[in-house]
Amino acid sequence: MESSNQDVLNSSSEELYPIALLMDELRHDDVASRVQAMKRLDTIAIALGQERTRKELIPFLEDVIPEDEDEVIAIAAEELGKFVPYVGGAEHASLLMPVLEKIAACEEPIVRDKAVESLNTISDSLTDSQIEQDFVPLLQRLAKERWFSLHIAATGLFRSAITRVPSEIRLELLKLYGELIQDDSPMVRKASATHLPELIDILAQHFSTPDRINEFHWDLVTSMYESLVNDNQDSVKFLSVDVLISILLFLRHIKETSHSEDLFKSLITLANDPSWRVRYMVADRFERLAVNFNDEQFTLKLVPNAISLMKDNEAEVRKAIAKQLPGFCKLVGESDPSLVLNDIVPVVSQLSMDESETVRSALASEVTGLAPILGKEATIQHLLPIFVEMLKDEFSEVRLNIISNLQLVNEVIGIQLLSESLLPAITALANDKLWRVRLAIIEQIPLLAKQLGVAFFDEALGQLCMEWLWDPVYSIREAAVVNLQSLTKFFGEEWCKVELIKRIQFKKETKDFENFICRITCLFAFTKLIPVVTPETVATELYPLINDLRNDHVPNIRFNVAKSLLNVAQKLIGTDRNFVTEKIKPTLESLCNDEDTDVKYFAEKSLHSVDELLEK
Amino acid sequence: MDLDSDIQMEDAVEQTQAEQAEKASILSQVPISITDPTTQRDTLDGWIEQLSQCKPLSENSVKQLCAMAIEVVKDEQNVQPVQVPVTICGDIHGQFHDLMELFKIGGPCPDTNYLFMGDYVDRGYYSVETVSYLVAMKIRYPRRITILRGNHESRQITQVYGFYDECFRKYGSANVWKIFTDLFDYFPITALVENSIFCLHGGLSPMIETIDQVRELNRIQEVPHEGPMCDLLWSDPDDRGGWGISPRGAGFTFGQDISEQFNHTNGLSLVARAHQLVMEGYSWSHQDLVVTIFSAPNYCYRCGNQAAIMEVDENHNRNFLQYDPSVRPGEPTVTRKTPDYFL
Amino acid sequence: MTQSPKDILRRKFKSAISEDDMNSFDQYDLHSHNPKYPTSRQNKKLEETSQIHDNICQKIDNYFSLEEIYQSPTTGYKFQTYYEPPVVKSNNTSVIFVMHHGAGSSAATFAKLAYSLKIQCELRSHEDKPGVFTFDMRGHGRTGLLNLQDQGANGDLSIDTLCEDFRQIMVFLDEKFKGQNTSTQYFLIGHSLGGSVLTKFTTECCLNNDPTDLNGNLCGLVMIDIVGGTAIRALSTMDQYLSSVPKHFASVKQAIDWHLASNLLHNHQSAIVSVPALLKKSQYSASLEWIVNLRDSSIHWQRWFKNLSQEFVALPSRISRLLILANNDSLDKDLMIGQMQGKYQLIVFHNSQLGAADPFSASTKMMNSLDSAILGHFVHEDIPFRVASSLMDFVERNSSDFAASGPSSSALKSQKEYLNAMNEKWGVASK
Repeated sequence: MESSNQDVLNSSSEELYPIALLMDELRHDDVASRVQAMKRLDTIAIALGQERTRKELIPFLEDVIPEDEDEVIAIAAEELGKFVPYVGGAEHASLLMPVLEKIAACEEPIVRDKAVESLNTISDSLTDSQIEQDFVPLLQRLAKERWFSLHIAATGLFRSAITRVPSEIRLELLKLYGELIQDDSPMVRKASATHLPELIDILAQHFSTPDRINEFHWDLVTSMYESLVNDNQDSVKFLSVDVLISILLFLRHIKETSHSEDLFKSLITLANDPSWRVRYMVADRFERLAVNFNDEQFTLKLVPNAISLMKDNEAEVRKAIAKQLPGFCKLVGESDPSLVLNDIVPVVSQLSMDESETVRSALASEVTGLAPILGKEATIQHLLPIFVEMLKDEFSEVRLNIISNLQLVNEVIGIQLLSESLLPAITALANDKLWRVRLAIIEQIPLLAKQLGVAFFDEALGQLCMEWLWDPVYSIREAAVVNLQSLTKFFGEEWCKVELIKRIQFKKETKDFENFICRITCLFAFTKLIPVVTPETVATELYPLINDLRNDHVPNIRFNVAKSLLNVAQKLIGTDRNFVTEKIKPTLESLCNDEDTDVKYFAEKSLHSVDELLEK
Repeated sequence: MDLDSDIQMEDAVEQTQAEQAEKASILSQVPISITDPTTQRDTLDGWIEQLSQCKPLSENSVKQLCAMAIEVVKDEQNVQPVQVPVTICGDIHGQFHDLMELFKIGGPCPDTNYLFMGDYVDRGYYSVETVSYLVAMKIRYPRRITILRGNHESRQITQVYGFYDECFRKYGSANVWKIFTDLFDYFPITALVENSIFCLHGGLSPMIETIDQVRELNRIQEVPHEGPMCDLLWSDPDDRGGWGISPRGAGFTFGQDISEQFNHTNGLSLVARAHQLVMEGYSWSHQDLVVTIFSAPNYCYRCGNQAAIMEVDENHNRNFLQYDPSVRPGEPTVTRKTPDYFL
Repeated sequence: MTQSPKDILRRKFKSAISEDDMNSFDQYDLHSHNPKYPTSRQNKKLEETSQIHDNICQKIDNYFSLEEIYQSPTTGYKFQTYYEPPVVKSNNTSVIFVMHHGAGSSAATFAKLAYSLKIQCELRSHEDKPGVFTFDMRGHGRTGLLNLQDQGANGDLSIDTLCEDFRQIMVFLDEKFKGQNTSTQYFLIGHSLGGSVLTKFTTECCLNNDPTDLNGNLCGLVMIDIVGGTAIRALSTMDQYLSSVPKHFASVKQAIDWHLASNLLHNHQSAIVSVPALLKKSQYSASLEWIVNLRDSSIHWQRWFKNLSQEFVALPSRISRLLILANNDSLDKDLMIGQMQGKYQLIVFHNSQLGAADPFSASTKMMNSLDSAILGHFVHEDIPFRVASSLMDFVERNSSDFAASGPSSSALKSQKEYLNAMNEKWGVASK
């Protein structure tokens, strides 16, 4: 592949060669070769020059592409989107459209989408008159053919044309879009409904000023929305929710409220639709819908709907609404805080015991967000019990999601209260079967420590922090080591010496130390403590154990000693240069002659850095 | 193996002077297509970094990677000696994120020594990344990690169970598949931990009574469809005694009487093998003479099994670590294409 | 390492037919309208067979030497059966393949497979040849036509009824061997729904200690392209699929063309046998219509495949099992676990690389784009020769006696003898 690419570049002066080569490659039996050839289409075009690209390459492609495999066509479609410069710029850009039109007719969605995307890209470089003369007719042809896949392609193209044509054509296009919205084929209706919000947004962007507001064609847009809301296919109907959001955005932008009542009614109908997919969509977009009605009266009216979605039969719906709770409750709380507490929180409590674990898990990841809305007292009284229950959930993800989001609660009620009420649950989780739960707890420890103070911490959690060092799972041991470093930062060196270093040194005297994992964990722990204690402590307390391990029979320990010694040297170089030259350097030098290549490698690396330190 | 013709003289000299015993270690420093060992190490570290984010290497890099890997593994033995402590792992099958999970549980390589018993590719979505990563680690730390060959490290099997298709999808051609499957021919087929634990992918062969007989095999070839090398990669232990026909269509089943005899003859304490899915991640058979280790949790994203690895410490104590699938947002959902017609 | 006699024997089998031969056989079937096998392999009888056939359609009658109507003693329902008896020369065990087609199909779907099995035996120089027995299931093919007056019985396609039908037919088949000196080993082969019926039947036999004593003679079970979990998921799309199926055809040729064009079948040579058997003359017009209306059976669909994979995997290990899939390694959870525990053999034939489809075939082939898109759900019709080869390998491996009928030169003839020798060498008792 590489070399043939080279050939193409080198031979660009030779007449006919590149196109011949491409034709060969494009006719190769092997699909992969054709794919590769197609990926180099731009190279070929550059080699040919603009004129021959227009006169030879494009017609050639028109000829061969429709016959080919989907994967080859998809690449051609993508490449052609970048082709405007190669055919001589905007004035010739229309030339690319026929071939893309053919590709857009393809039934394979990936291929069709690529062609539509490229057509849209090309339209950016077209003048308004080219849009009118070339692009719009293409779009109309696609939309009027009697084949669903062409209609689908057409729905993706309106956005490029709709604001760039004269008023009467725009009206024509919107009417055409209205026909697609009511197409016989559900797939077409689905595609047009999918693209409608974007189209509305584009119209809103251009035509929201009073002088141009007619161009938005409110009647057409709302009738399309109406037709989607009443579609007999769920998979079409549920897309109307996004259309509603776009319509609301527009109205909000122009500060028009007269239609709100009607639109709100339609939303209520959707929220109570027999199909769960439609209700799901409403639930999933709940906060955005409420925000965009932008009226506290409607927000408050939505509360009963939110509650009935929270009690929906379908777990997916409950899950979706659970995720919307903090955002929605914030809106409600701004107008009537009591409604959140009295109406919503009791249902939250029910939801926290939902039969579906994914619902509980979704709730767990969001429910702590209610604390700031409810304030300190209500959180303590009503939310904490929910958190405590969820911390005991049998599904680990639920527990994890609560723990990971406790920070928000901490900000509202303070760590003291939080830890008192949650500490029993937390210590229970510290020994959870799932290591990720244990990890999540360890990650909360520095925060707890900071707030609890030394005495309370030692009593409640001190022992636990040491035990994690000997956990069977590496990641827990690693987190435990990092945790010791953080704790030393808060509680100071003396505490570290007594509570940590002594205990780890004691481990050396036990049988556990015969185990490689125990030794390497001690080594890691001491290495991690080096930056947070004074040079004296490093030299007298940490170094001896590290140094003792230099002759360990396990090479993995020896090369970690080599790494660790560099940290010791960095710490001591400022205060005790002799220590480095007389103790550390000779050790590293001897490790450089180790029989194990990895020990040698890391010793040499450390030695090199130590030498650099000494040169400074 | 084709070395670049413009390889540096001093390296060539270094290579000829190297003593046999040190060959492996020096080889790991001999640049294949990069002239300076430091650069090569940096390149490898760069590749490992890239792969650890589950981003595949370029086709050219794979070519270099496998060329280097052949130099490293070709001189390993059919029965590659391994020292304790070591962590022994079973099938991975392209479940890259679970492999990363495995390292989170067992500790990162090179700090922890690893022995993988094959089946890195097929079925999972990330065979390319998985095998590239393990091979890169093997070259970078040849003494810290041992990778054996599984029955899926073969041209035939990979064409049916996904690796071929994945290569084609990710690289647009079968070149990378060819490069890797050519490399697989060089992987050692068994390992022996401190003369005590015999490790291999499948199981025993009626034609292999002593470990020395494994040493006599010519392993550098495609996995044959029968014969001793095939058996070592395909056989399963069975509750029934003696040798039996394997329901798999390749290899044999062997009973406890066979394991007893084999372990006794060869002075072994244990045969550790992979190849079979076990719901708990590991499973003892034949009264603790054989252990099965399987390291792909929720195999093929649907089997609901736990995975496990076995830590063997320097005092030969064994410790099993079980684990569940990693948490991975955005994992492609396992909705496969349903057929149009099936009656 | 010295070669065992078994190795030499096997090599001999393999060398009798190379991968290239297989490709050319199946491709002959695929690309030529006039099957003509390489001269060296020509066989007089085969030649005659191919001459009687015209190019538009063939009858299943040409592929089986015995056609009998079996009437159920309990219900009076009649079944059309087709039988090619085994050839037993070298020993006293005969192997019979019993094939059960799927819903909407007919016995003719196995015509080319039966024929390919015969060729395989000749290529492998087996003196003994396995027999092939099949029948049109309830409501299908000629069985459907035989019972036209009883549409109620024709439409009773519940899994339990199908299972009972099969049990009675097996008894009928087994009667043929009563009183002979030979013992019979049955290898059941079910395509699609057929696979489900046979799995259920085998499960019941093994559980109930079947009084007909078939149980002991059941050796192997082969399912062709059926995965229970996947089938159940696909049920929801069946309605849409059936809507796209034409109700009438103007001619047999049109029906064959439709099957090929809609990618249901990919092998013209097979289609000219199997498609005609699916159709009957319409009562009211000159056109042809389906013998079976699949929609009528929709109430039974859910139960057809329920627990199929579980039961297949759970069969006792003395029933050797093979699952043949076309294109998709789309195993459901139970089959995936079973496969990864080595409970059965799996062969996936793949569109893109036919040359290497069988994981245990001798040589490696690179992808050949010519081969692409030539096989689908009716894999035994699309590449009958390949499937026959896999079935013969399966029998040679799993029938303790059959391989003994191969070339007589080697010392150790069967799997059983080989295992006995190995167990003796290791000084352990045989299983």
